[in-house]
Amino acid sequence: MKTQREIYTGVEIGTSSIKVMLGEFLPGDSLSVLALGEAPSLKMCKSEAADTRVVGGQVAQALAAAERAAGFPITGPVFMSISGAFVETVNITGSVLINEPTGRIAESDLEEATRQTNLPEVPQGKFRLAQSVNRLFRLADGRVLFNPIGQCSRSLEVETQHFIAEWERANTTYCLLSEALGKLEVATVIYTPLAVSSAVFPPAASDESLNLVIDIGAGMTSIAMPTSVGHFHLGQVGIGCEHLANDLSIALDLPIQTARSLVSQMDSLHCTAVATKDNRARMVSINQDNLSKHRVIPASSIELVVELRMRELFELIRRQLDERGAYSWLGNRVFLSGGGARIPRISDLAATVFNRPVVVAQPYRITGRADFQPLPQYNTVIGLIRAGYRDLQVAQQVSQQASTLGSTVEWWKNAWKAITDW
Amino acid sequence: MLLIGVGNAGGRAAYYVYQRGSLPGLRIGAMDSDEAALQQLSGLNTVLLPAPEEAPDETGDAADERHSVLYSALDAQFPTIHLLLVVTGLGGRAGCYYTLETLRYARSKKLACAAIVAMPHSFDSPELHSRAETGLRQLREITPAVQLLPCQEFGALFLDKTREEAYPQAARWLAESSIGFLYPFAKFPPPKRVSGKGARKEDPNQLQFVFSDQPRGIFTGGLPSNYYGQNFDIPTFQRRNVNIDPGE
Repeated sequence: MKTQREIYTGVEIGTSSIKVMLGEFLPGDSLSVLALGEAPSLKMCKSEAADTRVVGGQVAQALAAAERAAGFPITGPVFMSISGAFVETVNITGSVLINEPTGRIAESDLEEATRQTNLPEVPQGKFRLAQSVNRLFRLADGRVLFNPIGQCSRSLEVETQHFIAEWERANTTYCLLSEALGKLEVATVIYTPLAVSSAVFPPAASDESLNLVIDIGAGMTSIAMPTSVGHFHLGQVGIGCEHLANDLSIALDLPIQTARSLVSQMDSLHCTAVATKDNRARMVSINQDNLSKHRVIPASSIELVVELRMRELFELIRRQLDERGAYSWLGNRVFLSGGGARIPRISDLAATVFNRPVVVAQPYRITGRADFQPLPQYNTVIGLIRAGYRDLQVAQQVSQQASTLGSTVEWWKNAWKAITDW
Repeated sequence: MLLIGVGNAGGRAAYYVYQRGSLPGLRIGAMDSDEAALQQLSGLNTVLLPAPEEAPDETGDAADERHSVLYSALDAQFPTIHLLLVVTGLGGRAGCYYTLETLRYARSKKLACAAIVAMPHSFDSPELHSRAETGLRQLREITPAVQLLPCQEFGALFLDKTREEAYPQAARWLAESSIGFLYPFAKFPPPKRVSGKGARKEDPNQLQFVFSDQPRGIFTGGLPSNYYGQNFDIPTFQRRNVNIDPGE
């Protein structure tokens, strides 16, 4: 019956556009997209609202568009992504000595070690996001594993990542959505890199080599490197396609709107992210309506500006991964996501930096209306529904266990499962 | 060449020069007794010095300690430079004291040295003006190459702004003056020879002064994306000095 359907809503308030997606889960972990509403953000900078009045209006428009497309109002749980330079990652390490005479690690040892990684205190003016992820386990001999159960060691160390956000800046974005939703509440807030990872990689993937997804948004670029029981790396850099538009605007003396159009229409202009140094052999003609001024710009100039910026972005990501010890774990494939993944030959450019094949990320097990195309810019909002759904399930299990059993050990066991599930 | 920003204003000025991308062959550093101020100059080489006393006793132990910290920092740089430029706001206690000491030490090492100093604003206290006047007299005894930025003469210009705006503006003025001062001494790579129709007819010795920061465009109002000492909001082609053909 229609009333028994569980429909989930994901809302991404991005720098370029606001996306609202309604979806439900089908047997076999498939996500069926029921509706998508989208509206330009207009006044956002690096995932933060520059003009809350304008952005608030756009959020309401995107919600209304999604409801129109679905044919029914939003009622179910709403998940929201959080993104920006004000979110930081804190790694906490916990360790236990293994009491078993053989030194064999049991699940209870993981629970105890994970309990020690609880964030002791959140600085004033900040708050901790609900999700925490296991990064790695380290044995007494220094070996790093993602699932140490059954291994023999004198001690076990676990590293857990917590995400801390500045309260006021996060609350500004949160209020934009909660005001537009009216009586409905936001069920959970998900860190954007976690959402992207949830859309692209099915749970419990192999640990033999780690995948990497890079989501190039308009304002921020998200990076995620999942393991079978957590994430080796989750983070963001404050560089995105808006930087490309800004570079083109300054280099070619174009209005910023024209430069933004250039970035989004690179394919039709036959420009790529890998610059061909042919000087003025290929010219791009641009008509600027507002200035009534006709411009002819070398395609090689556009390509050179784009290549310089994107190569620099990939090199920055590689350097960060290297410093966090993540690059050496990288498998044989890198995935690109977000609106930036649609720039022609961006994969070829990324491959020269990461020395691996690079492909555009596709969401796994997704179905939906015939008019829905799973473009890479929708990965975040798709992942929001998946991650939010998982978050709700884990929270329900933990609360049920805590109330029925009332046992500290059982509660911790479930809390630990909540962490490892990420 | 070595550019040292001394004190709060000098440190800020050095940081502006650093953010702009410096000049070929130029090293930049900042010295101050204010640790918090130095921490804001992320990516810049900084030296934390002991706070000078109001009437420093040049023969006491405290003076010896101050000098030893200063001299050891300078000794690490002096053997490999030919020209020293010190920039400072001369009204500040640390700026005035350590500028004089730095230049005295540089002269004792027979190093070519110069100073660009900003005098206090008209709204600053008489104490600052008095310190700056005394400091300027002493400075001119050390080196004739002193360039003065008389902020008090531009009262109308600065008083339209708040003090919070006027001080950074003076620091920017110091920075731009420093670049102008050092530009003729910078070792630029020889110009590429361009032949044909598009060749630019330029005198290779012509000086080019850039009086504005590299633009950050739409990100000017927001928090900068700083990584590894670089502001990534500044276009990549500008930071890497890549020439882009804008077409017709």
